[in-house]
Amino acid sequence: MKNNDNNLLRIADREFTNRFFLGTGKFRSKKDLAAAIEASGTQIVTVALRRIDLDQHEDNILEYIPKGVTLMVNTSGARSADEAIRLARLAKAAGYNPWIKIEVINDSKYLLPDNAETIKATEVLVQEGFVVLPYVSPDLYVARALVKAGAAAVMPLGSLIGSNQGLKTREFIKILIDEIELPIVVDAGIGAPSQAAEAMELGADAVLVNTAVAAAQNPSLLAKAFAQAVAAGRNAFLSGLPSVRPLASASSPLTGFLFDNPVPKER
Amino acid sequence: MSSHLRQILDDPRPEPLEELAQEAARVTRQYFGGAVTLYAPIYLANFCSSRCVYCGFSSQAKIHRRKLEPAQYRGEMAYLHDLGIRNVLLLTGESLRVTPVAYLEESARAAAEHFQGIAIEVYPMETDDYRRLFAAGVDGLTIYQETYDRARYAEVHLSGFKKDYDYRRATPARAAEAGFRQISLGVLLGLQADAAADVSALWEHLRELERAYPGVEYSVSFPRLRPIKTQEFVHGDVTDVQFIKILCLTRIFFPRVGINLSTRESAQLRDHAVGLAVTRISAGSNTAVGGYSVLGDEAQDPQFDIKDERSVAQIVQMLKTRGFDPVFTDWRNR
Amino acid sequence: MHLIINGRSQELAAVRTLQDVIETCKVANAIALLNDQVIPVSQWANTFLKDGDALELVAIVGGG
Repeated sequence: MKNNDNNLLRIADREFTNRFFLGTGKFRSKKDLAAAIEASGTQIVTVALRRIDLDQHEDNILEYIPKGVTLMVNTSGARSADEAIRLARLAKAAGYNPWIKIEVINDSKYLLPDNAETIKATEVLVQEGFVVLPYVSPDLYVARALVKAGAAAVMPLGSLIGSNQGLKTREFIKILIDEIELPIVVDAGIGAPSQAAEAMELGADAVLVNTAVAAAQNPSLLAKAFAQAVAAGRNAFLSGLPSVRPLASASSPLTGFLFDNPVPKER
Repeated sequence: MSSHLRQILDDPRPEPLEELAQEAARVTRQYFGGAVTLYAPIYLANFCSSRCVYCGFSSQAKIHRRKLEPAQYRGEMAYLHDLGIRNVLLLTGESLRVTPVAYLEESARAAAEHFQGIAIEVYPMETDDYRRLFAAGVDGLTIYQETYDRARYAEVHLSGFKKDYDYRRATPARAAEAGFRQISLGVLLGLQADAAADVSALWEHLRELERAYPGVEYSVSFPRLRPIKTQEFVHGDVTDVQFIKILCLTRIFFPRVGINLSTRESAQLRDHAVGLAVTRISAGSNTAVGGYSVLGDEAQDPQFDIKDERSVAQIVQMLKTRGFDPVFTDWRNR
Repeated sequence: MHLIINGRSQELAAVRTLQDVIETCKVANAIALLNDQVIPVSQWANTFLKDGDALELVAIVGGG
């Protein structure tokens, strides 16, 4: 059984009271980012590592992220396990929190993650003491391999990055929620708070959103809406939603043979 | 869980039963289509060193003890093969001395010449023994705990192999370790007074195994004892209605697990249970050693009395008429 | 001194240590790698460079 029966989300050695994770890419301005972090109350954000553009002076993004927020370095840009591993080691050597979101993408058309390379990178980085949260296409065998490798969570995509299509992979995410003991953090493709709520109602442990918030006209207001939706969805899940029942089909009684008379028709 | 189940079993109203049946039928159709797998048992021997109060083969029972020699069991196998059977269940009593693993291995090799699916229902053994049998062509194991209630278990298993509750309960896992692809669990309804407790315990055992060995195809069976004068060991009575509820609930909780209905049950019940929840049935069965081709008119000493005596052809006809697809071969395994 | 910084050839005058490069380029928040080794901030002033050294200057930036 998962350890998240109540509202506290435990990943590795940390606890979170807010199940809305925020990605920090693509914001029009760092002030927007700071406002979104504050408005949503998010406790964990992803950041990336990039070569510094020497011709431009960029503010240090870390100045816009409050101290208590957990930083998760995303290996975005890595096209192979080796590249992801290198980026992770870089972050660790530079003294950053060894929480890594492994994102290995070698496909510029759909930006789908390479599950096989992600498993490889997870195996290596867990051995080196990283807290690894791998981003993958939802697949039961892949998730099992990640559990075996020691991942701290599994981050299945809801739909293609930036597509705002919501839970296209709904059925497969449900399987992971049912079968995998690790926290399931739905990531990618969440375009609206209702979609985030839906993911939480299914039983996901958290949701990560980036594009939708960064591209919104009012990022901080949308970030707040997302956090509220995630909390609502979580409460709905904990409350034990009555399941949606399809209308009973009016076929002939199946159990009439057990009684002398046929079962009387309902209502 | 067992208290919820008890409430459902005791609920006398017919409407919820019908709802339950409709849902179970829907789930069965969704996951199995109309497929019903047919198989037949072959009793290789009835020598037994265990004393189980409910069994016709108990070491205390005064019956003819028989063990088939290769020519004889090949005869049984050819007979069933000619009827169209391609899945076979090889059974023996629990005697390591008379029917050791080597004997089972040889019979499995013979069976592999006639059948695509070979399962065994014999004494529990070690993982390495299962590996030997797997290499010989066996990939299915049937092993029923009979009852999960330790106290009752001790009461009905008086001596021999079967007395060890834990060894028996851990047997499915050992077979899974050895590579077995199909494992069948079961409880003997009526053995203890609280059927709900046994059914719940069986479900729990099944969930455990599903988690630990997700690559195995599981099935369950609920052989049922009815209280009759000569059977004092029957402490509970599971009525037809309750029985159907158990089958339907099992189907709903375990959409992918096969549900077996033995020939202990009447033809009428079997016919209706198929499509509600049941997806595996034996056809043309004989539960005596050498009962198909060896014994003729001699006293057969069957392990239990068969209520549904229909032939393979009759079962096939029944299934087709009701819109189901009889399946003789699971090509995946061979 | 002739250096390769982030893959580009650069001529930087009057630099002797990594610290000098950081100050010249105004990249105080960098993660610095010299010939593929991460050099901790505390070592920047003690890290002397030579002609042809390859430097990578990487930083934490926004990302998904």
